Amino acid sequence: MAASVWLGHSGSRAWSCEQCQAKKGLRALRGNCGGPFKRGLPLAQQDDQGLYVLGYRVAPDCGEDFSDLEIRSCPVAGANRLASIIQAYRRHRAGLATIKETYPSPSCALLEAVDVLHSNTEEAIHRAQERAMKEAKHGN
Amino acid sequence: MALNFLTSSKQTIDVVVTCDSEVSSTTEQRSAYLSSGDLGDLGEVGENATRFTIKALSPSEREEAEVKAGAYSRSELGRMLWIEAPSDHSERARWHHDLSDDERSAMSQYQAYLNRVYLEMLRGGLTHINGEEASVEQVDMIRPDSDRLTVISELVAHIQRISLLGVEGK
Repeated sequence: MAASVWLGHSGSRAWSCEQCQAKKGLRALRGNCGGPFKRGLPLAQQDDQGLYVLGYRVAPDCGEDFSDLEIRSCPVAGANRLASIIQAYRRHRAGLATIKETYPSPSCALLEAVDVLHSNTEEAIHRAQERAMKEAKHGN
Repeated sequence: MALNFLTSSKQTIDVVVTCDSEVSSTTEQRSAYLSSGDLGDLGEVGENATRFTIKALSPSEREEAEVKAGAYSRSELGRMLWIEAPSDHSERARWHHDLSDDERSAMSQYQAYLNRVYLEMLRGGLTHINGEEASVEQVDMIRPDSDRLTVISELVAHIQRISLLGVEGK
């Protein structure tokens, strides 16, 4: 869920479907859109649960919590599977439709998902504002 | 991979339990099924396997389960010790042996609280057994006792999976 925010925030530096389309064999190494990572994936590390890639490798310009997260399957595929929730949150944020209108009887998981989206989106906005201020200060 | 939760507390799914004589599976298959809920992950599932229909809990149902189980009077010392306990069985037994009587009592109180939470979650999440309206009392009558415990723990695991976001979902 958090990945959907940071992938967008990191832009072209983040993992994307275009990279798999452009580089032969990369999609398989990245688990074919949702499966576990395969041996040979660049920058992957291993523990007793299998291969993982740290959050900052997936989305270089990410928040502190996401940075150290051990990502074990393609976050782009994960974000695609959660697209309906992400869209509902964006509509809610834009004032077009409330979460309650889209999901009249939300489960605990849905509310948790919206919480995670909201806190990470706020962090991303804050990060972008901070950067803009720094750049303005240094005249870039 | 995770991301197997439901977005609505009105949605239901059917699950089977692995101690059912109509189900034959390996330990790995059982573990995969508990984390995915996909029947395809299990070995063989007979036509007569008992189908349990469960629903995702809403935030208020989850809170109600915790309050009914005694969330406000549970032992906080027990909770702290339960979190601190080593995961390795042998190490855990030695660690438990060194606890004081007060600490052991606090830990057993907390374990009893968790068992009550599981039953209350089952009360909120179980809707039907083989298509007929069901209650937690029916599950509590399952014998032998080892099967009753397996059914409760597996149904609760499924209810938690569909009700909570989980680590991968975050």
